[in-house]
Amino acid sequence: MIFSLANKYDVFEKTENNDSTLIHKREAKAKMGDMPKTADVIIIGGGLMGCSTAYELAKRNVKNIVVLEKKSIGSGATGQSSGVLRGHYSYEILTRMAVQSLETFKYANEILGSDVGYQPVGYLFGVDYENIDTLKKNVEMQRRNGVNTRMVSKEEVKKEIWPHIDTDQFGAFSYEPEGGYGDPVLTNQAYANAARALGVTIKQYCGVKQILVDKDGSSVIGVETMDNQTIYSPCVIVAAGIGTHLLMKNIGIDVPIKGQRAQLVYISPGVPMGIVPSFGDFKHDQYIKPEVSSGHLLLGNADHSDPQYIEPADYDADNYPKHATEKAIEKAIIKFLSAFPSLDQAKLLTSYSAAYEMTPDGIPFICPAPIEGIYLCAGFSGHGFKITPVVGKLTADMVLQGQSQQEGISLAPFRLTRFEENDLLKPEHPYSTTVNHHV
Amino acid sequence: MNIIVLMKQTFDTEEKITIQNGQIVKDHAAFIINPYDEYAIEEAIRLKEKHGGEVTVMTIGSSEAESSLRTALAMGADKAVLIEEDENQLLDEYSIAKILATAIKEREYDIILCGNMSVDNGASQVGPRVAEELDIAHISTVVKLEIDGELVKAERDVEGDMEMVESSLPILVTAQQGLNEPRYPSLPGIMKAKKKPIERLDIEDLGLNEQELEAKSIAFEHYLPPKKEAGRILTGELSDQVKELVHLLRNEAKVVSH
Repeated sequence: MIFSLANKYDVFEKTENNDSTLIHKREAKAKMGDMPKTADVIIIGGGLMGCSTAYELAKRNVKNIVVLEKKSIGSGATGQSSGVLRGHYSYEILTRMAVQSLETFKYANEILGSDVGYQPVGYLFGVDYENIDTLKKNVEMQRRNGVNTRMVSKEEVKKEIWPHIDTDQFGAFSYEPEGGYGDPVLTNQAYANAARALGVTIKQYCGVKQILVDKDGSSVIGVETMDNQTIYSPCVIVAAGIGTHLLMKNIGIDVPIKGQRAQLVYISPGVPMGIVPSFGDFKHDQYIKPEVSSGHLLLGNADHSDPQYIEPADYDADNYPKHATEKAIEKAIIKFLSAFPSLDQAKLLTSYSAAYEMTPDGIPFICPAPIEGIYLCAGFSGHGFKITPVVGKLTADMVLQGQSQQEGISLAPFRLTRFEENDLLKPEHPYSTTVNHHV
Repeated sequence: MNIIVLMKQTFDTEEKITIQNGQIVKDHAAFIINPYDEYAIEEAIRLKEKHGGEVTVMTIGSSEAESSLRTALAMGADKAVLIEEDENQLLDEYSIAKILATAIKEREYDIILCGNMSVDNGASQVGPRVAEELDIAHISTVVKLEIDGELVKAERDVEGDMEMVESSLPILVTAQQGLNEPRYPSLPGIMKAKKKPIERLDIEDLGLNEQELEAKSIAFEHYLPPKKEAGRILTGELSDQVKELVHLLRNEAKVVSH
């Protein structure tokens, strides 16, 4: 009998068939026994957003917070995140969120009490010749907002940053020495543990069947779990990623979040490269994340002009292929070899397939729902990791104060009604090369 | 040295496998090269690198099997042959060996390599049967292989023991885990492999009669292994937990004798 004990709360067991994990049944039953009947706040979803929100609320003395996670902590979009950290956005508000969040990644040991795998390998961003001015303007905006970033010459990229890049193809580059990547799962666990230390209850393998509302449907009264237990609460925060759509649809609210297939490829560069940065390659619409420990590279697609949506919206990763398709791998190889033509000894190691929780404009929902007591914190569209710390604070602000307490960050762009009001967040200097919500 | 590798595309057991009416639903499955065949492909490429010559990979399968042949080409095989299977024609190890042997007879070869078994059917029959059909020697479950002129020296895994075998070319060898570490295909190799031609053969064109093609065995049921029971967490005082663990190991799991 094989089982590993990740910690006293996380019990995984490998099964021989394809169901990846099952919680220990007796443990689950024991947990049900002490399932609370009421909560001051229920958070649906134990991913990064759910746990950072729980932590922020608990820090502000909210008692009796219950996080309900359908599988294990970080098993959804969090566990599939590449973990790239950058301040580079063309949206000013997202830039501010990334800058403020970076502090938490840098000082996670002090703030959260544990390591989150922060690797300041740098973040390099490259554009084609058409977007040189746009990049300059965005770098100015980012610097104005406190991002440690600057334009770097092709010579510097070639000599100091990543000699294997064929810089001639690029119009210009910017570089953030404090960018790089973090470990989304470690970050999630750090938030979960910090939240527990403040008294938050996190229930894993405890999915929510439905959100319960009062008779006239105007306010929330609690949730019913998959195993038919009811927890009453005047406040429910839905941080359920793709699952948010179905939970809200069942109480009559349309939250436009769709699954979008993301396919990623792991390669060995074939030669030792030393420390290289995370690289947003907007010439070829790809991003590359190094793994310091192995020297391997993760190749991600950044071209979202032809998205492959996953239906139904209540996505279950177990029902979708775990690896990338041959076509996706071929595309990734062509793009990589275009940017790094000298790395012809690079080898394909493996691939994996994940799902973004996409909103129509790629901007998340951090807003009250039109039912009193229900709040949304979902739809991070593939770029949530780097803004997690601020999202937790914003969500706590929204619930406790009704408005943002974070400097220079309004909650308005994240409201649900922005589509019907035709008032979408727009970057001042958008890049022309790509349909990309992530930058 | 002319090397032929017999390979099979099989289900990726890391992906979800669905069974309906006793058959695996192919539409939902993902496919890989049978892992034992990967050892054979790797060994073939190493032999070529050492002794020269060329590597031909050969498979019987549907058109989807082309992707696995291309992976073998990306690893370094030179030629690929796809013997296209008629989905209505039921084949078993007997008929598959007849078909492969017939296709091989037309070719020049010094050594034939294949996996010692496929992870889907697990019969371990095709390799030795092909050798018999071709009337050549075979060595199965090989973990080390050396060729010096006509002399073949092999170490084979015999249920955990090692057997040293000497023979001579031409020969068929089946690969066991441990023979080598299959290489990852290079990115340029993958792109080049997409352009290499694949020779396609129809089973009908091989001139086998109905008797030879008829499967002699039929699998009439497939089922997934039973789900593993959940683990158990002991609680209480550490000394009590240890006592209970020892008790359970003795009386329940029965892995510790009295």
